[in-house]
Amino acid sequence: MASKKQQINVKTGHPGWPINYGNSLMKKIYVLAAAYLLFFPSCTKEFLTKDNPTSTTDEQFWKTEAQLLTVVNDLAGGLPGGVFNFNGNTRISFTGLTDDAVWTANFLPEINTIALGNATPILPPSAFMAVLPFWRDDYSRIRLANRFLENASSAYVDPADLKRYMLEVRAYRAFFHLELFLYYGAIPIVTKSITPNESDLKRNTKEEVIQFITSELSECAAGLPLDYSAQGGDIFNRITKGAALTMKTVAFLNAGMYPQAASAAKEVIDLRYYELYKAADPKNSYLNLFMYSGETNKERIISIQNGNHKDAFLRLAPPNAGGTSTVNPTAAMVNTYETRQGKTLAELGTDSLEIYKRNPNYNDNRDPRFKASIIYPGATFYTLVDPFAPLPNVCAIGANNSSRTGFWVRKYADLADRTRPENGSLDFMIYRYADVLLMYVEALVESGQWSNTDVVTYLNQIRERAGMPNVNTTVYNTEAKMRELYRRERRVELAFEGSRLFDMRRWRIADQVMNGVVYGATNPATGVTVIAETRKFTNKDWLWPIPGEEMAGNLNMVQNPGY
Amino acid sequence: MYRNLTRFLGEPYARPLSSILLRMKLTFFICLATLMQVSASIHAQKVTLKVNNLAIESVFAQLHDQTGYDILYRSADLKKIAPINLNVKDMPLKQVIEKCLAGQPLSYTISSNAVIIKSIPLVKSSADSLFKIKGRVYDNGEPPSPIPGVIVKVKDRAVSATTDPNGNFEISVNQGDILLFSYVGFKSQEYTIRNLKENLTISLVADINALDEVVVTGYTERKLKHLANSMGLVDIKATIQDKPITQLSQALQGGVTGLTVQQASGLPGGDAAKILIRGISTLGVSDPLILVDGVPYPLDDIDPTTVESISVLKDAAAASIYGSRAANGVIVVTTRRGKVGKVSIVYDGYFGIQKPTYIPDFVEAPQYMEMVNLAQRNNGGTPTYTQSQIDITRAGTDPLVYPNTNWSALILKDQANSQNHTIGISGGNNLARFAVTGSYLKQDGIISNTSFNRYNLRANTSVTLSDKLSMYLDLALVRKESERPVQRIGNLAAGAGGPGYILYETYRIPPNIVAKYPDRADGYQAYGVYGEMLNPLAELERGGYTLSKDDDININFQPQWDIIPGLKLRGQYLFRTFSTGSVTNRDAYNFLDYFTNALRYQFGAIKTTGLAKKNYQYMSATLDYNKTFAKHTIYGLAGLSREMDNPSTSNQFAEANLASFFLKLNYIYNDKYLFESTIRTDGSSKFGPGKKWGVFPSAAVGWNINKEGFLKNVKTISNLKLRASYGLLGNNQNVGLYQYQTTINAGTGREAVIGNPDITWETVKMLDIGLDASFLENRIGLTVDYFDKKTEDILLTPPLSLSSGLGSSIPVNAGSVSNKGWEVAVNYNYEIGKQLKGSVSAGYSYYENKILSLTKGPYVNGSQIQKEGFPLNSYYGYMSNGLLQQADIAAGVPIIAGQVAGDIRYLDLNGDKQITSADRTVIGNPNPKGNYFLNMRLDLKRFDLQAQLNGFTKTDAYYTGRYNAPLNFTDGGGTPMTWQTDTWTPENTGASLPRLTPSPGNNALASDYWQTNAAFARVRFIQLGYTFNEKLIKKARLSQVRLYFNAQNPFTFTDMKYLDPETRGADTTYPMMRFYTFGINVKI
Repeated sequence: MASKKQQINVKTGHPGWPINYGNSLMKKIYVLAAAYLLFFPSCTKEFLTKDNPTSTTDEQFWKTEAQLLTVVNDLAGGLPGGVFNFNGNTRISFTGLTDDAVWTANFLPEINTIALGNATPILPPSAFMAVLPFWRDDYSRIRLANRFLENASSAYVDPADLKRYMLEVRAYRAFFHLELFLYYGAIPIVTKSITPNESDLKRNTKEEVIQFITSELSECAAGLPLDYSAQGGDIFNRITKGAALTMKTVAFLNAGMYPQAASAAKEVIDLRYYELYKAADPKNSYLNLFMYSGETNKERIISIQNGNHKDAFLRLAPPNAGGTSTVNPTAAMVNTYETRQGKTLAELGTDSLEIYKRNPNYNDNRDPRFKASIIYPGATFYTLVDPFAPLPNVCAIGANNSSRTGFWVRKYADLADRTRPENGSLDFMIYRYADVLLMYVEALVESGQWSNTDVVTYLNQIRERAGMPNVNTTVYNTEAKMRELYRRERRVELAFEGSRLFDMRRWRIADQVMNGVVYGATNPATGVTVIAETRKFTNKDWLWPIPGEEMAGNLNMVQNPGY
Repeated sequence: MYRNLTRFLGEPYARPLSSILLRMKLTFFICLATLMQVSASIHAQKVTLKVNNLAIESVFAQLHDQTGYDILYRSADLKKIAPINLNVKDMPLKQVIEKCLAGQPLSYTISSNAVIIKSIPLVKSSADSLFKIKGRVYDNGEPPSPIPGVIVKVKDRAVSATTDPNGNFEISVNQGDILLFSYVGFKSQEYTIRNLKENLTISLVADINALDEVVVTGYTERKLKHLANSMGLVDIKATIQDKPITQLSQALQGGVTGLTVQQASGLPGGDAAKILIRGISTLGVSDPLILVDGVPYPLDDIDPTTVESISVLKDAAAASIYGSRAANGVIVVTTRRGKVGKVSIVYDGYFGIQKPTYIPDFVEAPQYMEMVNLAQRNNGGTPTYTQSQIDITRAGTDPLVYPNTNWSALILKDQANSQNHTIGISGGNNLARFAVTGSYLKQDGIISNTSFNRYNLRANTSVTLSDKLSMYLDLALVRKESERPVQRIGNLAAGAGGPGYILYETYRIPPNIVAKYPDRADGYQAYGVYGEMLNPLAELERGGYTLSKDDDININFQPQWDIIPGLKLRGQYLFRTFSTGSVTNRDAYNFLDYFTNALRYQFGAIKTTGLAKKNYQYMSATLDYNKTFAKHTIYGLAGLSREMDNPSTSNQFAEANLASFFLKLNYIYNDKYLFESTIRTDGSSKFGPGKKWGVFPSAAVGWNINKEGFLKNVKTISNLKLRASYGLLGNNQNVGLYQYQTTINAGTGREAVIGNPDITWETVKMLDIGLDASFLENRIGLTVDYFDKKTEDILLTPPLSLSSGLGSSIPVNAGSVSNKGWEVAVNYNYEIGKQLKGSVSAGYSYYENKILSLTKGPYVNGSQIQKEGFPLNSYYGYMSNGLLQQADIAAGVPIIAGQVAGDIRYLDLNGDKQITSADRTVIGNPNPKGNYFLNMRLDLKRFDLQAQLNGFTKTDAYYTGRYNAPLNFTDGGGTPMTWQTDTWTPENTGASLPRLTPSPGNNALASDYWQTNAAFARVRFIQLGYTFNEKLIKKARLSQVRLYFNAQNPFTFTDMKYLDPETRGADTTYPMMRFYTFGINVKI
């Protein structure tokens, strides 16, 4: 190899290239090289300290009222929605878990899996999970609430407002516990932000859970306002005094603590703030309650604002109007509606039953809530809906995007949304005054006071608003008959609003109603009744399984029986 | 026939040729003709001919018939030649030609199979044309040094000269002369004098014995024989050069043992392969560090034609100079630099078609409808379709109401085109060298709106500033344009992107939905409605597209100062800026019902663009010293580096810094005993105070046994080396930024990160013992390595209870994993005569990994588990034993509540008489334990045949998604594939698949029922190339022309029937491609 010592031959170089640098350049290079070496080791400490340039650390966060409101709004966003909008926890969708409807969507397969009796802690993966996020999201919000309660006092905010925020947040925290309790049974109560070392939480007893929820809600109710008109008006997803008391009623009722439930419900009634909604034309009162025309009313206690409900039309409406028919009412639900005269189909005898099976709204002689809640074969919704008409018929039973039962949910499907099926702005009522009245009635009956005059009074209020005759006290004159009546009334009045799952568990009827064949509509021409599916209910199905992820991460968690 | 060809060839040549391009075309034809002739027997060169007054063209034709030689000429040149009279017997061709051309101003040359006739320019006589030419000869080092004493000789003439101490020479030549340069230790080189250039610059390539080979290692180049560590060298010629490679990572499939290279998709622009060096040894990021010209760089952004060398640093001793970056091994790539000498222009191009290795074959509508009915009946429901509906569908008489759509054929094309063009220009002199390469790759997809274009430009310049100072200044630009369909619903086909989403829809839309209705009179186009308009054709035609442009700009500056001989100071500074912009474009569309005109669905307009940017900076200084004193060779390296990484495109101020100091010492005694040691310390800003620094030492010893006296005379052994190394490596790739801090998401008040101030480096401890041997003058080579790698303090996010609300995002150093294995590589080169030579190389790598400890383990994540004593990412689920039969139910075998006959029979492992989640167990290992490759090359005359085969040994894979749950109505539906029709019914109790149900119920739970063996052997490519006779193409001023045909992935042998065993995946996976290409390389 040639030596490197040789000089560059200037003659062969290109003219103009600086070849002979001489000493001055070399000196400069020595200096530069030295500087280069010196630069490196210095400033290493600063160089290796790179804190997050944009994120806020915990200590910096809890400073302003705006920051507190951010948290309150995030918690409010965790309330259950109406229909699915990329959020599993939606009350109308969950009707598919009950005998009122079959879930026919191409997502949330867990609803079918659970309804068919196939629930497992690890459900086969799907794009949208219902069971797991429910548990995860509610507990993640509980953590957020706890952190709020631990830190909010360091913010600069009016003391009275701070007090109210604290109560609101405690009420949300109690509600999330309540929701978990309703789906999973006794659960761990979490009242502080848990550190990783404390994260193996144990379940509390059912009594402890109810005690915690109700006492929290009582305290919150005492300090919360009746409404938020002073805070800027139309805020219906924030917990008010009435909402806290309603939640307390739900907690007591589902724990079987009926006297306490009755008195909690009575507290709501006694606020004299709420009333049943009446439309200008009383015939439309019940229908309009769920439409834009009745959206602003004094009946709603707490509602989720359009965000988790804006797809209502797309999900509920039949395909002729551009919907996808995800929640399909069952014949069992349809047959629950009385006649306009207040008779049940069973009371009428088999001939009439056959007529109403083939033509559910025969002579328009059914409880007006029927056609306000359900689209049935032969009803007109945008155009005539006839699942039994020959093809091409988008509404044919079993056709893509059509109902599997031949029935559709009418409630919350406002034709005004037909041209914007994914972008409605209707609010979904999580709790409304009629629910409170019915809970009050139930609590009275179940605590032995079936003859309390309030029972009939409030049932009549609800029936009257619906356009139904008063309770026939000659027929409903025993505790058992009154129980039958309030249960039917509750099922009909609150159809598809999300209460049925808890009702059928509380009434211990799930094993009967969730077992066996699920019927749909009857073809008026042939008399053949559609069978949607055949369900199976085993003992494990009284409660949902604790998600496998919780079981894997929590050594102290005990799985619900049967999973 | 051949005669015609000769004439035909003569004619285009007769036309004036002005452009090089035309000439190239001609050359191409000549080449083709030659190619066709190669098989013909060697013709006699003696001619017997008797002609009277025959036109010279006809004489040439006869000469051709007799000799087989092509005779090429311009018709114009022959115009003046009178008809020929000739009577010769057994006269050599040369003399016959001379007779024909006697007295004409024509010259001729005879090559091996052609005679080329040219007119002699009317210039000076040959004696006048002698002139003096000056030049200088260099070695091909960087910077280049002149070589004294080189013998310069004019070929075929007794004229020669010798270079002076400065490498200069002067010699008298004639135009057309060939100069021959030769010098001991260098390969001889020829140079043809084409024009009267005064100053020649010649560089000679060192002729290195295999054992003196210099290889690129960490921060430097070292002699192979002096290395005691384990590294693999990719044979660029066998695996990369002149091959149609779309992504460089794919090319590493069969080159080096210890590499596991697996492609996950064939998506244009997404077909990069994942590379693992010696298996997975950590739970998080296990990608090796890839350095290109000294700095981290994405392997797949490199234009394969610019690659000079690829070294794979496998063991701790080789890699620990990169300390914390090297836990998963290091791949060191260098790119080509310009050499002293005349400018060379190279064109590489290929054109090819890609065909999917599989396409789903769905059942047709009538069968689909019957299967739906069966599923409904199995679910206790009313059948959805009447018999008459099925019959009309089968008859196909009313396709608008009773359609039968083949979605697979509509959406997935059976082939897509690809092409690549690269032009490289390089050259230079002793002051500056350059290599500029530009390339363009275009890949179309088998789904519309899916394509990939890549533009690369690399300009490597080397400048000699003085005899002690030189520098590299390299510029690399990459633009990547990807077009994708819009993924309208993010949750569907999560993570699979637009093409995956379209595939997902294609697998699930039923065949009895109309794809597209006929145009209506008013021009409106109606589409079949499925769900929320989940019609893949409507998505492709009306759902818009996303076009993204990624720009990666790199400036790499490397000064070098030779302080004294052997002592070098090198610096490096790299700046990279990466930006990506995208546009999504969709016009609003109202999907109206074809029959009623009612609105069924709406696509709103989307017109959005986005821009994101990130950057990276690297600075280093190294001082190295290399000296041999008698029998002692020492090598020392000290250095420091700083990296400033901004890994997030959304926040330019989110930075991770790394400060490093390193020291390496080698001592070699008498080329016999080798000792290496390295220590590196790294500080990372990703860790909190007190946890930032890590120290990573290593040591290696080696023994060149063949240098010992007792083996010195054993001729069969050319090399025998034993080596062993041990060292520590670090890893912080699994740590996101700011994990030591708790931060709040200001939009919700929730904790974005729940910090852990204690997290620190993952540490890999690695032992390697190896043997290198070669025999029979290096014709046979063997390398064996055993390694034992243990990763400690693995950064994990142990599952925390969801009820704590913590989520599972808190990283802790909480586990250790062992990874042991061995590798063996052999190669064999042979030569049979002068015409046939070949080589075979093969490798086998085996590794086994096992979790040794796991804080709060096991971790279950869906169908995966991390559990002590088992491999990483083991499959977790139920064991099964066929399908439940009526008799099993009657006998009361344990079942999951609700199961009936025809469902999968799970095993009650814990014996509690029921099947619960507690019966799950580890059911498989998804990591291939063994992988192998075989490379072959055969050169016969001008042909070369190359082939590569590689494969994995037994690997557990699972069918998931629509591969285990067809007809999953409640999760979007799914059309069964034709292999999914053998389902259980009371009449078909021996079925291979469980009963059909509208939703899979418990049959889709993770279980070994869906397990399959994904072992495969794949012929990676077969390539046939032909290189043209240099003498022929010289006339067209080309120095090399090569054509090839390449078939990539032509054959695969596997048990995995329904998906590709390499990509695996499910219904969102873009299939692997077979790739048939035709390519050409031209060098001027």
